[in-house]
Amino acid sequence: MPKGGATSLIPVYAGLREDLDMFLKAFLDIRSQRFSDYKRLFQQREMMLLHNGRSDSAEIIEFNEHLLVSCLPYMEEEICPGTPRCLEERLFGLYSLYTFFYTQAAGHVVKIRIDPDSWRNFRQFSELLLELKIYDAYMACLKLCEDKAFKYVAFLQVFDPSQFKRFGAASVPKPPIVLANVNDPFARVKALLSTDLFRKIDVIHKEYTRMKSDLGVNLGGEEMKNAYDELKENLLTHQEAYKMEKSVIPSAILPIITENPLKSRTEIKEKAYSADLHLERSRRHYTTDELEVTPQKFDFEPTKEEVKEEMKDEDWVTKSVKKKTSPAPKPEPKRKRARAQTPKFKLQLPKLTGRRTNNSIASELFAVPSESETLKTEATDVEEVVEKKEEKDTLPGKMPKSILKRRADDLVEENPKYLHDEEANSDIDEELPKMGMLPGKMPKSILKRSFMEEAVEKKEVEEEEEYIGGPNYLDDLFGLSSDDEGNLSINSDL
Amino acid sequence: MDNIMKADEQPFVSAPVTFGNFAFFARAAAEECTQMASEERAHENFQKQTKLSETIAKDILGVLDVSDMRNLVFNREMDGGLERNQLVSQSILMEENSRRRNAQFKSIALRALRYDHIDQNALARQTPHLLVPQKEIKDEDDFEEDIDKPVVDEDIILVAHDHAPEVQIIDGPTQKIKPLIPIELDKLDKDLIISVSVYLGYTRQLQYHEIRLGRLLKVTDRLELTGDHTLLDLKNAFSCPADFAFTEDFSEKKPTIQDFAKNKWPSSMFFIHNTFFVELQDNPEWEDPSLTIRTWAAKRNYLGPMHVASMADMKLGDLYCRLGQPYVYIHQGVCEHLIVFNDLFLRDESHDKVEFPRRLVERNFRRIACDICKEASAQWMIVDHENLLPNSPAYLCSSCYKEFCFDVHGNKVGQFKAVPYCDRKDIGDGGKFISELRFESAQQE
Repeated sequence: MPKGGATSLIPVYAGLREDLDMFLKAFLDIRSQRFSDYKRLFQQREMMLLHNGRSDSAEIIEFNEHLLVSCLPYMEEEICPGTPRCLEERLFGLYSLYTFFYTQAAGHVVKIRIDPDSWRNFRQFSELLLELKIYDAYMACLKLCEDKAFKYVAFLQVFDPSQFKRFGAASVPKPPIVLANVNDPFARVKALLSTDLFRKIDVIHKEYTRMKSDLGVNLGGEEMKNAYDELKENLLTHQEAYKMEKSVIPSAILPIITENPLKSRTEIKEKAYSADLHLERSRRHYTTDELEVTPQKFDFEPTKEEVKEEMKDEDWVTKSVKKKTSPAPKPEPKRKRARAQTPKFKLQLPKLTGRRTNNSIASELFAVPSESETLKTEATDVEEVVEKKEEKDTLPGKMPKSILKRRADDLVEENPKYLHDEEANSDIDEELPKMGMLPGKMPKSILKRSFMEEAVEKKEVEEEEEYIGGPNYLDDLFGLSSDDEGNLSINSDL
Repeated sequence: MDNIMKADEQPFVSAPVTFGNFAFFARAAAEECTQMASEERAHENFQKQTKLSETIAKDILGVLDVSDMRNLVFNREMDGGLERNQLVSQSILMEENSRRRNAQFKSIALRALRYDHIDQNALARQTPHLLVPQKEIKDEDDFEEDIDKPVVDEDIILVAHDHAPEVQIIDGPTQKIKPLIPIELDKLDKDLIISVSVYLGYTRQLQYHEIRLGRLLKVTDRLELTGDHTLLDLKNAFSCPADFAFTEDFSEKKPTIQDFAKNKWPSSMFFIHNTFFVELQDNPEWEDPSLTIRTWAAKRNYLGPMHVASMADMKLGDLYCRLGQPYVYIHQGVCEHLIVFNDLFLRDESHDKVEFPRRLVERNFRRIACDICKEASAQWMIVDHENLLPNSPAYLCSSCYKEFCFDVHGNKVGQFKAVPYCDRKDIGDGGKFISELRFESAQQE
C-alpha cells in the first residue's frame, strides 16, 4: 500500500467518536450534573469495554492517548463561534476525561495531551465550577492537577508523514442500518427524516432565521424554506394520497414506450435481418436449428381398471369394503331459517365417508356453491357412468376428473330426476369444454357426466352404516340451510 | 519552499511554529497548573479554595473514586461475547482482530502503529496516581508514624518551585489579574523537548515507482532532544553507513579512522524552512556545500530567498518551522536524509532521569552474513576477484577474509580489491563502535 495512500488498516481511534457521542446523548437525557450519576451511567453502558480487544502495548498507549484527547472538545466553551455549549456537556467532557485517565491499564498510563488553548479553557472551566459550587467536578480538576495528568504539547495530534494514512471506508464506521418496513412505501423517507443530517438541517435553518430576524435582514421578503419541514409536509401529503389510491392495484405490466412507435414491422424486420450475426464462441450453438419437440398429448382411453384405480385414490372406501346394511333412516325435515336477503345457492354437498385412505381433509369440504341451475343429472347404473366416462376423450386432460366431479357436486342439486330428463339433456352439447372457466359456468357435458358419477357414488354412500350424522349435518356446520325444494342458502348471520 | 511543497494543504503538516514561543506558553500553562494546585494534595487545595471542612472534601474524593471500575478483562483479545456491547469501536475492532488472525496482516498492522518498537516505559508510567491515595496509607498500621508523609512513586521525582513569580498573566474574559508566575527564560530551552525522526538516506535519485509506493520511506531513528541542543547535536545523534564507507582498496594496507568518508568529505548541512545550516570547519579547504544550490535558486525568483547559518549556533529551541514537514540533511555530497520534527512538548517530572538526546527506536536491520561461513557478520567487501568468489561484491567476515584471500605469510592471493564494510547495525551510536573499537584496535595491532 503506498505511503499516505489508501489502506485496509483501521485507525486506532476508529468508532471512538461515535461511542462518546452516544454516551453524551445518554448523559444529557438523565439531566444531571453529578459525577455519581455519570458513574452509574458509565457502568450501566459498560463504557469500560472500550479498552477491550487490544493486546499490544503500543496500541494500548496510542489508543489511550486518542481517548483522552477525544474528551477535550466536549469541554470547549462554544460548539462553534456564537453557539455556547451547555454546562452538562462540558461536565460530561470533564467527567469522561477524569474517568478514562484513572481507569487506564497499569503500566500504560499516558498523560493527557493538552495544548495551551485547551489548557486555558480547562482552567477557566474549573474557575466556573468553583463559582457555581459544583464541587465534585471542581475536585476532579484538582485531582488531575495533583497527579500531573497533563502533557503540554504544541498540537494535540502528532505530525508524522510515515504514519499518515488515508483511511478510506474503514475509518468511517458503517452507517447505521435503517430498518425500513418494506410494506410501507414511505419507510425510507421516514427514516431519512429521522437521521441526524436532517435534524441538523432543521437546527441550522432555525438558527439562521433567528439570527436573520435579530439582525433585521430582509432579503426581498422571501424566506428560505426549511428542508426538514418541507419533507415532512410532503410526506404527509403523499401518505394521504397513497391511502386513497390504495385500492387500485396498479398493473404489473408497464407500457413499453419506444422511441419510434410508428416504426413499422417491416422496417424492424429489415433491420434485424440485415445485420450480421456475431456470436461468441459460447453461444454458437444458437445458430443450429431449433429442436422440434412434439407436444405431448394426454388424451388416452381409460379402461375399466383405470377407472377403478382412480376411484380407489379418492377419499372414499372401495365398494368391496363397504358393508351392506340396511339403509339409514330418513332425517327429519330441516327447519327453515331466516334468509330474506341471502342469495339462493344450489349446493350439492357430498356425503362424507367414515373412513379415509389418507390423512388429508376431505376434498368435499371445499365445495364452492354455484348460482347456476343447470342440469341435474344422476346416473342410475355404474355402467352408464363408465360409458359416459369413455366419452371423456374430448375433455382436456389437464383437469383431473376428481376436480370435475367435485365441481359438479357443487353445482347440481341432489335431485336425481334430471338424470333421466331427456328434455333437460337434449340441449347438451358434446363439444370440448373451454378451459379457464369459472365455477358455475361449466359446460353441460361435464356437468352431466359428473352428476352421473356422483349419483352412483351417492347410492353407494347411502348404503353404508358408518355415516356421520346425516346429509344435512353440514348445514349446521357451514351455516347452510335448504328449503323444501332442496335449494341451499347460506345463513348470513354466520 | 513551503509554497512549492504546498505545506498548508498537507494534513500531516502543521502550521509554522516558533519553538521558543511554544516553550514560553507551555511553561506558563504548567505554572498556572501548579498555582491552581499549590498544595500537594487535591483535598487540601479544595479546602483552601472552598473553605469547606476536610470531611466534606474527603467525601467528595470518595465519590470520585473510580478504582472499582477497572475492567476485569484487560488487554485480552476478545472475539465474540460482545453481543451485549453496542460500542461501535468494539465492533470495528472485533472485525479487525478477526483479520489479524492472519500473521502477516497482524505484523503489518502492528508495524503501522505510531509507537511501534518503542519502549513503553519511555512513553507511559505505571499508575495514574502520582501520590499514593491517603486511604491506602491509613490501612497499614506499620506506617502510622508516617501517615502525614505521602509515599511518592519512586519513578517520579517532584520538582519544587521556590522562586518568586516574575511574569504577570491577565485572564482574558474575566480580566482578572492573576498572581505572577515564575518563568525562567533561560531554562525554557531546556524544558522544551523535540521529537525528531530521521529517515533512511539515499545517494541517488529515486524513481517514480519507488517514491509512489513509499516502501523506501523508512524511519531509521526516532530521537528526542531538548531545545538547548543544537543542530550539530542532532547531526551527531544519528549515523549513516555512507559516512563510514571507503573508496580505496585496502587489500594491501590497513584502514584507519581517517580513511572514513566522513573524515574525507566532512561537509554536511541541514535545509530547514528557508535556511541552510552548514557545519563550519577550520579547514581552509572547506567549501560551503550550499553555495551551488543557493546560486541556482537565486536565478529562480519563485523559490524565494535562502539563507545560510551555522548548525552549531542554531539551537533547536530557536527554530521556526513546521511539524511534519520533511526537511533534509545532506552529507557526503549526495546522501540525503529526510528530517521531520514530529512533536513539541514540555519537559515534566517523567523526564528527570533521562539523558538527552534520547533514542527511542533502534531499527533492526538485517545484517549481511559472510558468504563463506554464513555465521559471522560481514566486515569486508571484496570486489573484482578472480572468479573465486560466487558474488561480486562478496562479503566476508574478517577470519574468512584472512584465510581465503591471504596465505600463511600474509601475502595476497590472487587479484582483488577489498574494502572494509560497516554493517548498519554496528554503526549505532554515531559510529563509536567502529571508530573506537574496530579500527583503533586494528591500528594498535
